[in-house]
Amino acid sequence: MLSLCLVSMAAPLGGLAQAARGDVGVELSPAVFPTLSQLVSRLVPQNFQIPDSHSELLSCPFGSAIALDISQASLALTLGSLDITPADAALAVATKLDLSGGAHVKLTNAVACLGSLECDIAVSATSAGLSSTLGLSVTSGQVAASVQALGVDLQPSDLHLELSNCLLADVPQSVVNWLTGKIFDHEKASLIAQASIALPPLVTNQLQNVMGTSGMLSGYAYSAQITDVALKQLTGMEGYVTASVSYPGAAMSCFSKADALTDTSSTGATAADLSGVSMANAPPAPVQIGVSQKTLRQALTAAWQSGMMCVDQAAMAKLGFDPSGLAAMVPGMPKGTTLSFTLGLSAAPEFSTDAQANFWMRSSGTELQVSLQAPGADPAEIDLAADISLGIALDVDADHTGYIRATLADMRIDNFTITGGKDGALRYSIDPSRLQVLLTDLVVPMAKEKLGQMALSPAAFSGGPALLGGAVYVWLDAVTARAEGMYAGLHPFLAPTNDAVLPATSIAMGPGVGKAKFTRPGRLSVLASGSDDQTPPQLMRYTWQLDNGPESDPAFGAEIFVPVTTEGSHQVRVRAIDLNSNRDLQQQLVSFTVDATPPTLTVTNSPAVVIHASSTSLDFTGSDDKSDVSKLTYAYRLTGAPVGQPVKPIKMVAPSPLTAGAGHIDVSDLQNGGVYQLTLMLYDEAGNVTSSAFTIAVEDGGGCSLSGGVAGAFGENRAFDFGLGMLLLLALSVASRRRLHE
Amino acid sequence: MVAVLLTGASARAHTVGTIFSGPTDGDAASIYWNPAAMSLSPTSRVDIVGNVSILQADYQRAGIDNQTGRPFKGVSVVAGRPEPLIGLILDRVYKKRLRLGLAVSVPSTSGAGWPETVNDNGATILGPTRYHVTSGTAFNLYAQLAASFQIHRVLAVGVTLNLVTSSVSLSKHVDLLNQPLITDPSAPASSPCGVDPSLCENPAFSAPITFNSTGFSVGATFGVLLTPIPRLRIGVAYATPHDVDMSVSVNIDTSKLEKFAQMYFPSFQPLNANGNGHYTLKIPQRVHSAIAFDVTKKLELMVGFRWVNNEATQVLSGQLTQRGSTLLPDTITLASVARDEYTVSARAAWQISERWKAGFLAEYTPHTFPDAFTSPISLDFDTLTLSLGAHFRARKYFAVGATFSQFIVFSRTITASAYGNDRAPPFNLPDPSGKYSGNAERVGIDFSFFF
Repeated sequence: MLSLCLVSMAAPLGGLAQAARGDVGVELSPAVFPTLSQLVSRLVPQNFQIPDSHSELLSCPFGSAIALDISQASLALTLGSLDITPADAALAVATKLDLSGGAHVKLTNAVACLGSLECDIAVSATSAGLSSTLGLSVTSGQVAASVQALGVDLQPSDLHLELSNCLLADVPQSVVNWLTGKIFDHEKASLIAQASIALPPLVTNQLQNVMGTSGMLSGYAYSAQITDVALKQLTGMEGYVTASVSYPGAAMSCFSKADALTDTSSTGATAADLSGVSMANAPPAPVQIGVSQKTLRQALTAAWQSGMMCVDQAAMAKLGFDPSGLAAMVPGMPKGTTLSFTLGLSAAPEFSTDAQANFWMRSSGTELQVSLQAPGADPAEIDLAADISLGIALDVDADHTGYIRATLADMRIDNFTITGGKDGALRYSIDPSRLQVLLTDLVVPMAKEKLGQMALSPAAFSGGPALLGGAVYVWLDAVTARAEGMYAGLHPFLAPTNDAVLPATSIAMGPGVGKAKFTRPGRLSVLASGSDDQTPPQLMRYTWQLDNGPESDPAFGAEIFVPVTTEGSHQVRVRAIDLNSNRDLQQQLVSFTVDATPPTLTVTNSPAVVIHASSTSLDFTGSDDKSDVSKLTYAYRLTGAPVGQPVKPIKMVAPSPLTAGAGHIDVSDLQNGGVYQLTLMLYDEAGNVTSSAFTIAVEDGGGCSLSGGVAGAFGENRAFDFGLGMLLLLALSVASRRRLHE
Repeated sequence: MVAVLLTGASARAHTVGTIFSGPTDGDAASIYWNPAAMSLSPTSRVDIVGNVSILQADYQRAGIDNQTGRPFKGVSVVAGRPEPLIGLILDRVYKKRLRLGLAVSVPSTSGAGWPETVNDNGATILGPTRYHVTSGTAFNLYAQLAASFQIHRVLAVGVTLNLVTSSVSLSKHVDLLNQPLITDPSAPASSPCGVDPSLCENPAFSAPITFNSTGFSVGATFGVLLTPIPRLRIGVAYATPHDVDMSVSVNIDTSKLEKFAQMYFPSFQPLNANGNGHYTLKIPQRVHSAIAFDVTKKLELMVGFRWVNNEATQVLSGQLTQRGSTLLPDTITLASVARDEYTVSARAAWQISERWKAGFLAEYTPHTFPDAFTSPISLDFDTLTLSLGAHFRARKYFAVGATFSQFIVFSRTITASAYGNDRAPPFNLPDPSGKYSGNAERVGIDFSFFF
């Protein structure tokens, strides 16, 4: 059946130079081409009519004596399948088409005087194969396309021409069948030859027209020019784009006091940093996207110029932050005091990436304006200005949640000033190096913990051409940074067109499933798991329902956060929903108890504050209103130092269970003269903690000891005083004796 | 002895009575030293003693004062310390074998008066001791009821009921930047000053704090007096320890903090940083002992030994049950780490005539605060005390006496301390290293009435 007719038309075009770079890079791996094929096959029309088809039909090898008049012609193609696969530096495109058509044909044979023949003719061909190998490359913005091979899989027997509505139809039908067999191969070869010649310039011209684009998007001006595209057998397709983003309007200032606005998009970066991304550095993924440091800087600068980084009172309110509530918590603030914050940057933040996968942002002139209005008092205001450097590393938990999470690599404050009072004079400043220490030891650890718990992105993204109804889904596989920019690995997926199978829901981790059934008030974390015959686990959506409350909207992300505030027993029901909105009819139930009460810690034998030995011990008991004592755990930490040495952590013992509701801690190797702090922490199942801290000072005792510290002797005045006293007493004694004798 | 607020020249020797008082002496001070020794009083008597010690201590703190950028100014404290006693012994009960006694004394008094501010080149700056102590007093007022019984010619026993009223007051500064900030027990305990020493002792965040506390407790002293031969007397007494429930009031002067805040927020209101609570003060157990021997009819030699169990009385820790502000901590802790106190003494008493009696007493007490735990509030010295005293029997029923004591104080240089801004409370105070020196004298006069 298969009779592939291949015609080689051109040598393969040269591939992309290995050193190619660009502001934006995209690499499609071979694994993504099936999805790409699906996407293209959905994007192209499934049925299309060939206009002026009567002029395309039957270029018959008849003499001029035969007049052929074709009218009411129609020809339609229906796309059966489309497969795109990377070939050696080319794209192999294979399609299956169904062809159908018809015409009214009038044949007049003046020579033979046979009169005229007039019929309706119907043409059809099923599963005609059309395959091609396209060479494609873009170098420095110039497109080169070629048809390396083109084949049509269609046999005469697959082509059906039926005549009807004509006199003696059987006779002309026999003639047509005979003629078809005679001219089929000739026509097919002619068609292939013409297509091979016509297609390359057609493709080249079409692509050349879309190589560059520019315009406005959400208020930002953009331009993009595809500079390099290469096809590779191993890596699929790789392309680079020269891009720019800017804010065309006047730069907006957050504060009237702000310094002159400065574009810092190129400050502090080396030429090598700004050379553009190279997809050879991208992490492995079906689709890899790289964005250069330069483009990221431009985007950040544009965002700053547009005022996006000015956070005013309304923006804070949207975030659920009530500054006036904070004012009520500060001792000394009059009742009714309102507090407001405005945050902004007086210069565009400097952005950079490094080879250690860190993203750095340095904001010069970060300004926090605090306004305070007390009832019956003049308004007061404080401006805090700082230069802040922030370094974070991003990671994606692709297997479970799909969220981007950040790890704080470093935080620095290089300058810090507080300006207060009506006159705005500088009243107080803090040495940046001191703040650096504070930040490093206090703020950064807390920020690290909080940042690590935050999801910085949705678990998946959906979108795509409007033609597909947003049926293209993408989940992140990896995000990383290099010196020249950032890279992201993506998994694209097209929603199934037909799916009647319901998904199944299970709980991978939650209260009672790998975790305690108790939780503290706050956010309850449940890790769900969904399975479906077509939707991958990463694109399953979930709903949750707390007790008898409303069911939430479906959302991506297997890790579900449920706000729980009320102490007591609760239930959360979780349901999986696939991309075709099929809902699991059976919700999975998670029962848990919110415990807001910390456990009770009773120290039965506390260590003496001052000990005269190198060891001491601590005994305690624990209990809780909800957790069983067997589930209580304790940990302790010992810090301190001997005399003359800096304080440092000495021992940190991880949580371990109590024994019959009691615990015992031995602390040894304490050194004489040292001051230590022993902190005991008791945890219940919900994670509530009660702690108690004990200071232990070591003094070796021995009251007979006369050692140490005697550095001097009594002075002359002491001897003098003593002598005077002796003389005084002697004089009194002598005088009294005389008087007694008298 | 109260284990906090000890300061000055450690003038602790013989704070009750005269140099003729002790565990083997039968004056009214025996109610304190050894109630069994009341049996030695040949008559009923009333003793009134008025001793006054003049204490002086000097401190040159090591290091640089961040207020001036120069070495710390040296500071001194001078204080007068009264050591009164009034006592009564009645011998007219049960065939003179039973004696009853009543005494009121202040055996342990201490005070501190380090200057809160000092003058440096014409400028007034905060003193170097302010985070440990600026001023304070502590005393125990003893009201004692005693009885002794002469069981046999060679054996007498006695018991004293000690009714003790205690008072401790203290003024100092608290470094607001050296208070623990993080309450999360899993996080490293720290404070701005503890993390960055350059933030410590900032005068803008140095807030005066005062503690005032009083309490009452009851204890007992048991004594034995052996007289195996008429010329030899051996006396031993044991005083029980007792806990005193002290009611304390605390106030932090937040005016500096308020002024700082009002620089930016003019309407910032005064903070109410007052609190009340309780803590337990331990009065230590002690042993008084002495052996006296009449070498001749006119010369008596005595050696004595005293032990005070300070080791169990080193930290005051209490809870503030009523707080006017969360700026006040819920727990207050003061530390004073001391070793046991031992005193050895030797005395020669010479009966010059029927009316005159003179005596010489030498005592030595090593310091009790270890070097690492010595601070301006926990300060004592190795001390040699030389005392001279005389008694004059003016009438059959009346005698008068005088005492002078010179305390020879050995100065101390502390080079390494357990205190430090990065230490755990209550040791998170500036390093009090430096040179401490002292000087003290005592004068006293006493009157005795016999009937």
